[in-house]
This record gives sequence, C-alpha cells and structure tokens, in this order.
Amino acid sequence: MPEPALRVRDLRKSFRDPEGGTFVAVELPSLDIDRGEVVGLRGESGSGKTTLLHVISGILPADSGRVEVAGESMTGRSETARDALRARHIGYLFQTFNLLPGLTALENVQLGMTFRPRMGAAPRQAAIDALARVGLADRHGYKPSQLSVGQQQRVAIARALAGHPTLVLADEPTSSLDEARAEQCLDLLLEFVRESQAALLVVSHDERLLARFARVETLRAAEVTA
Amino acid sequence: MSRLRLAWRSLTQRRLSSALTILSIGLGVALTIAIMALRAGAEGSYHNTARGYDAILGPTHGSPLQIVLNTMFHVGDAGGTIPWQAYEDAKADGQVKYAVPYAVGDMFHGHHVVGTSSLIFKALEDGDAVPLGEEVRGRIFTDGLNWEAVVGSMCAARTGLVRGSTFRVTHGVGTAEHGETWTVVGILRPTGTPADRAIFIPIETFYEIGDHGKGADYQAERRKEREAEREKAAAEAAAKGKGKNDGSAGHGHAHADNDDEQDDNGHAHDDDEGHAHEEGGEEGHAHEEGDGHVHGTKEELGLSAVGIRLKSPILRLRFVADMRSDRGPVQAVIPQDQVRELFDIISPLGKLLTWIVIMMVIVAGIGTMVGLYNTIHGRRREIAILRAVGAKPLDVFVIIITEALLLCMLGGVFGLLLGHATVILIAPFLLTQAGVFLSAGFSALDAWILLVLVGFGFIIGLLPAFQGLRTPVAANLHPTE
Repeated sequence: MPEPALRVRDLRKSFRDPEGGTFVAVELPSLDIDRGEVVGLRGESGSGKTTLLHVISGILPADSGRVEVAGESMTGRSETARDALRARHIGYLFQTFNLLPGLTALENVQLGMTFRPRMGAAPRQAAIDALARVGLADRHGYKPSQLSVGQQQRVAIARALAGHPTLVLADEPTSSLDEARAEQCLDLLLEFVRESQAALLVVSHDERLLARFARVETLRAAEVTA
Repeated sequence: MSRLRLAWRSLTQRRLSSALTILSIGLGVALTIAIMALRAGAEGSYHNTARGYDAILGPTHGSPLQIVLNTMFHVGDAGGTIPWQAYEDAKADGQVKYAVPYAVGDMFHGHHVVGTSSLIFKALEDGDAVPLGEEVRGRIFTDGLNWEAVVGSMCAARTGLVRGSTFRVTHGVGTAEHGETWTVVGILRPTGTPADRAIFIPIETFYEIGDHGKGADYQAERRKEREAEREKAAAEAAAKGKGKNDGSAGHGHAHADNDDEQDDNGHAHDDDEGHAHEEGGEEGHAHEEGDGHVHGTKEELGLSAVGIRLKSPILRLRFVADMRSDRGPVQAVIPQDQVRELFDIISPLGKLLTWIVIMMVIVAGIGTMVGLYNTIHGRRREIAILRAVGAKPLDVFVIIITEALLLCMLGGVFGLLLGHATVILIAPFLLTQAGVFLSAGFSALDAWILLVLVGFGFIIGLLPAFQGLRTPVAANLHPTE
C-alpha cells in the first residue's frame, strides 16, 4: 500500500508571546491525506490554519509530533533538508498569490520548479504547459502587475502544480477573488489536482468553498476535531 | 530558471539604483584605467627616450640627471659645455658605434632647437623601436651648412610649422630673434618621445647663430661673402687642376662638408664681426658661461652634450669608467640609470595617485554594499517567497552574492570600456600637447581588474547575503505581516 501524501501525528507548534510566555498556535493529533485526495480544512481566523500549513511544509519547525510528506519525515530535520523536501513534494498556493513582481508569468511558474532537484531542462516546458492549462498561454511575458487579480491567481495555481507535487497546500486560495472568479479558480484547482493525482489540502473559513469538498476537517484553536 | 537569471531579474527590477551603482563602480574603474595608461605612457615615454643612447657625454659641472634631461628630454639647461674634441674622441673610440653631437640653447616659440647631426634620427627611436627618421613627412635635413630643419610633430602642431615654413630662433626663452632663417624640410611622425617637442637643425648652422640684432640682411650679406670665397677657392683649385670640393657640390651644397672646410668657408664668427662670447672673451655675444648655449666656433664653444651609441650595451660600464679616468671636463652618464633614479624619486607620487583611485573604487564598493544591504530589508517578502517555493538559505545567499558580482562585473566592464574610450579620445591630444604616448587597447591589467572586482563583489555581497540568509520566512510571506 502506498504511503499517504500527508501523515500528521500529535503535531504541536507554539510561539513565545511578548510577555515572555508561550502560546500554542497549533495542536493536531492526527491527519492523513492520501494521494489524489482533496481535503478542506475549516478554521476561524486565528485558529492556526496558516501556521499549520507552514509546519506541514517545513517553513516552520514543529515543537513536537511528526509530519510525513510522501513517506518522508518533515519533522526532526534541518532547515535545509525541510527546504529540499518542500521543493521536491509540495506545491504551495498562497492567499496573496506571492508572485515575484520582477518576474514574468512564465518565470514565476518556473520559479516553483527552480529549486526542485533533478528537474533538468524540463521546467520551462512544464511551465509553458501549466500556463496553457490555466488559460494563460498568451501571457508568458506579462509581469504580475500587468495581469488581473484572477489571472494572477491562475499563475499562482500554475506555479503550485507545474512541478507535479505530491501534496498541494492552498491557504485561503479564493479570498482575494469575487464569487464568480472564486468558483472558476476552485474548478481549475480541483481539475488540475485531479489530473496530476496530487493530494490537496485547502484551508479556508469560507463555507461556500468548503461545501465543494467531500471531506472537510475542522481546526480549532490549539486542537483539531474531525 | 537559474540563480543567475534570478539575480539579474532582481537587478533589473531596481534599474535606477542598479544603474547608479554600476556607474559609480564604472567611473572608478575608468579612472583607474586612464591613470594607469597615463602613468604607463609617461614612464614609457621616458624609458623609450632613454633607450636611444648607451651613454651621454656632458659637462662635469652638470648633474648626470641634468645632462640626460637637457639632452634627451629637452628640459632645463645643459649646465655647461664640453670641448668639441670630446666629440671627435668619441667618434674615434673603438667602442663607439656612433656619436651624436648636441648643441642647445635656442628656442622657437618655447620649443628647444637642437643643433645636431642626422645621426640623431637613426639613434633615437619611438616605443616600437622605429627610428625617428622613418616615416618622416618630407625628409630629414642634410648635414652641413644647410639652413634646413626637421620639426617634431607636437612642435609642428603647436607652432603651425609645415614643410616649407621658415622660422628664426630666439636665444633661450627671450624674444630677441637671431637673424638666421631655417626652412622646414620634414616633420617627424608622432613618437610619444620628447623629440615630438623639438626642432632639429644641422649643427653646422647652429654655430652660425649669433648675429643678435643684425637680422637677415646681415646673414644674406655673409652668405654672399662665403659664396664669393668658395667661388674664389674653386677657381684656384680648378686652376691647379684639382677638384677638391666636388664631393660636397654633388649633393647640392655650395659648401664643403668636412670640419676644416666648414671652419674656413662656413663659419660666420670672426673676431672682427662683433659676435661676442664671454667664454671667448673677445666677443660681445651675451651668453653666460655654463648655460650650455653654444654659439661661436665649435672649437671655441664646444657642445652641450654628445649622445653615444656603443657597439654593445655591455660596454656601457667600461665606457663610463674610461671617461671618468680619461677625459677631464667631460663626464659620461648612462641615461637609463638616470631615468630609473628619476622614477624612483617621482614614483611615490604615482603610487599615491593609484591609491587614491583604489580608495575611490573601494568607496564605490562600500556604497554598493550599503545599497544592497538596504534593499534586503525591502526584499524580505521576495526572499520569503523564494524560500517558500523551495529555495534553501544557501540559494538565497548565492543569489544575493551573484547580484553583487553582477553589479561589480558590469561596473567593471563599463569602466573598462569607458576608460579605454577615454584613453583613445585623449591620446591624440596628449600626444600633441604633452608628448605622452598613451597606448590604447586591452591588456592583462584589464583581466586583473575584473578578477579583483570579482573578489570585491564577493566581499561586498557577504553582509547583505548573510542578512538575506537570516530573513525569517513565515513572518514575511504576507504583505500585512
């Protein structure tokens, strides 16, 4: 049986507060997502959704517990090892897109694969294909500032998925978009994920968006309940 | 997409600050190139000039450096004279390949007029070891009492002398013109040596100078007298069935070429002509003893100096030692040694200038570092995005270092191009106005400058790169945070 795309056990992440104490930002006893599975994660503002994604992706180290991506442990590793694992297996779709303003649409998509080992000469063609897939084949040379918000989001989706990651993490992916564009964006994301057989974890507080997922988990402050 | 491309994109995103940084580094490099070329040109000019002779005979009153500067660089005065016999002795010396006489002291519009022989155009060379006499516009003068002159290129450019021009000279830097008139028969090509600044005339004519205040009419009268004397002598010779003067007439001169005959036929200074030299005591030509200004008979007044080319440079030390022991009022100096000593004196100034330029480049580099360091703060989100998509801290470090390297390399290349373009543009001006030959073109120095800039770029990129390395990712991923 293949390893799940994501396995989380007894995860805990805390921060120091300004008074010198600590507060627990994330506590997650268990979460498994199989390859090709699409999961929504509900959480109110301040419930630690973004922090959870940061810990899963290795951007932040966990205090305790275990995170495995494609069978490889993200926890207990050095920062550099976590970066490498993230580059290899994870596509990240940010709430604010986080496109680099100095790069063109094509370069932004390529950027998602630049730090993946063993990509060889493929990234450019993969980026071109991904942009075509999101309907921006004629916008390769456009800078983010020359694109509409919806087009920027599509570039971000292309960047997250162009490298065929095992796991796609999406942080409030439609919060910057109006309702119609949010629907289109989600359709595109789900279709793309389905085609690439990636697992998808979308965190959101938008119930309309979460209603599109067959499986939705709820993250509460310092605890998660299924 | 490579790290290099990411670094390049980062620079192009901040075009103005990048361009200003490249400009500041480039100006420093250009200044370095120009000063190095200027320094090399000046040194090369001196060394090339000094290369012409193995030794110079000059008066014992003068310092060796003074003799070299006056004889070869046309600077200052000779510090006295040496007997004509010293020149004759040098010619007869078995070690000497050829000897070139120098008689100086008169000027034309601030340019030294050198009485000499045509051998000077064989002896002196430019930086490429091409004798001055090669590629002359027109021709070199003919030895003997011919009122011809060859003019250095810079002198010609400054004074407007061209082939066919006539001119008179003044004694020293004074305004009183001598009466004699020379005709320019040739202009030397630019050589980057002091020869560019001088006027060369046959030494025989130099000894004819001295008719202060009498003007051209007097000279014409004297010429007529000399021609009449020659005709009389020729008639006498013909009557005796001898053709003693045929040789000199054969190359178009109405006077004899050998020294004795010059004394008899070509010399304009008799005791009763009123040409007064203090040195001679009986004449009124007001030349101070010891200024090297030699007017009168060559035996009476001697020479300023004699340039010596030996049969082999190995003989230099022996020749100089012989001169010390044998030849009384004459000293022999090796010009190369004197130029080396001169540069030992002035080289600290050149080094100081070089250090000032290096400091300028360092200041530009520090400015680059400060600029980069400051941009890192504004680029925290960009760095965080790079990290979020998988860039390792080392990748960020490499990208920022690459940016610094690119700035320095582009500044360096821009500076090299600007520096060499400047050298090419100012070279003709410097050659004609200062006699300094600037060598344009890329050299090993350019490669060294680029290499140093690579190291420099790495160093100035270190601090910003470490700052970028430590940029927290999660805290900078969102614009609101």
